[in-house]
Amino acid sequence: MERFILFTVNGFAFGAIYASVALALVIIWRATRVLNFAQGAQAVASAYVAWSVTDATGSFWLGVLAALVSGLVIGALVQLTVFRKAESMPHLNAVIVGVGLLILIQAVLGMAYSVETTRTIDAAFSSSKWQVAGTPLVSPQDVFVLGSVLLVMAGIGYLMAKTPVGLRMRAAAFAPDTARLMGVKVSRMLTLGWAVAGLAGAVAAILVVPTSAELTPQVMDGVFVLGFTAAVVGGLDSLVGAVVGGLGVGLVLSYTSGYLSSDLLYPAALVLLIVILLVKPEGLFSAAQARRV
Amino acid sequence: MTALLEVEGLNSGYGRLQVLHDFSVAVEQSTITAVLGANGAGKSTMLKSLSGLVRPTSGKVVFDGEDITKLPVEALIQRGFTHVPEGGGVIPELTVEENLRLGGLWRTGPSAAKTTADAIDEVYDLFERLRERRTFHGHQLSGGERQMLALGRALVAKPKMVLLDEPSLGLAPPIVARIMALLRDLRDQQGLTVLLVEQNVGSALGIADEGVVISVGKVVTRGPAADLQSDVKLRHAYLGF
Repeated sequence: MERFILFTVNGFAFGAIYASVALALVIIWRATRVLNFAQGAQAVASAYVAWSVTDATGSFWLGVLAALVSGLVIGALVQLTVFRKAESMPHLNAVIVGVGLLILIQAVLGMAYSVETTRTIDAAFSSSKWQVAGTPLVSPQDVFVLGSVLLVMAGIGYLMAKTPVGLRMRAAAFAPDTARLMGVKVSRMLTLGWAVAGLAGAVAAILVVPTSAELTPQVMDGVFVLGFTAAVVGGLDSLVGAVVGGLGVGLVLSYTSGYLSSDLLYPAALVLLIVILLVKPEGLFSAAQARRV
Repeated sequence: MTALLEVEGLNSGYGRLQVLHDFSVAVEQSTITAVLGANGAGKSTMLKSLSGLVRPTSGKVVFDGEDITKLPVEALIQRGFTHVPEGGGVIPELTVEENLRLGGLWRTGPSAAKTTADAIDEVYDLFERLRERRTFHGHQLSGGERQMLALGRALVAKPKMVLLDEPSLGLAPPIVARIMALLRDLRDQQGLTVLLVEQNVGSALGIADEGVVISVGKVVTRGPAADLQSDVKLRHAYLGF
């Protein structure tokens, strides 16, 4: 029972991080039908910004703030400079551009930050678990991770569903021509979407880097793959799907690596991906059915 | 009296394929002009060239005294110029209410929200059916409801002029009659100016003041709607009935 609780809590905590990455991918996919393979690398860049600011100022929270802002800025810049042209091209072009950008960002980070220094980002709070009736339950850091991701999701959900800007963004994503006829500046909305996605990615990086031994340009590679799996499970089209997909992937992987073997983490993700693509290829929450009408 | 919309010598198409040849039309304030023609005559391309979704290669579009030929698409609605595309352009993923709110998003200033809310209410008065279904998504609506929503969304903008691309397409005759009657009322009571593209010649000429017939991208004849309606040879030659 103790193990079950541990694996469940860890599953939710990691799942929340995958959900955050998935959310970033879904926001961009919905708007532009581009799968941003550089999302993980952009998030790592934000993590390096956090490290640099914390290193210079000594303030952890200033570093977090800088990472969030840089997430927005990098997201917008990447769209304006690289992806704007690729959006109107065949899908494969954007994939290649994304992979190229991924390699470029990792290379630049590797050059700018020498490997001789070991860099880490601390967890915001203690990772030692609170005990309830002698059973270790959750740690303050677990609560912080889940809380942060839920806050980001609620924020993005509110922005999208309840505000005029969100309505513009959705209209621009679903029907660009109609949106333009209604006076929506579509290209501006797409840039905004990439910025918001960059923010979600930066949050994921801030939360996941403390669980790694050190901050390296490749530190998000695995998380990106799992976030991508979560996005596909959720249906690529749905924000709710990204969240449910992220938590689901987190739980499945936590149980698999906990009860069976931690070597099975990535194989389990792959099996999950294949099963979903075979049984429900449109994902759990996709609006694809409705879209075809 | 100068026309609200004046189009002069418009040439347009896709890449090297020219679809529209030297198209001109003048639409007077508070009138309905019907542009008629068979499938592939260039009617939709003509409308898209007016609103900038397709960029004309030459020619001029003047609306309300302003040259709008090169304006960005998204700058037109605030000038009172709206285009309801073929099929209506209802966004299936959004609710009826959200689709309607899109029609007022261009407004700015402190009273913008109120003006739009009032305009949406007026549209609901016009189409009770939409009020009942305000929380439904676009994809849950029937074809007729979708067309009403598309027209309603344009009306939320309180436009001076509406371009309509085949509002009768795929609809049952009673619904077509209802939409046509509504357009006539909007012209007569609110002074709305309409440029209507139709294959449903009878319905369109029934409410139009002026008619323009195009064939393979060229104007073949124009005149008062009543004259076109009684011209049997023309109907046989270009409109197929």
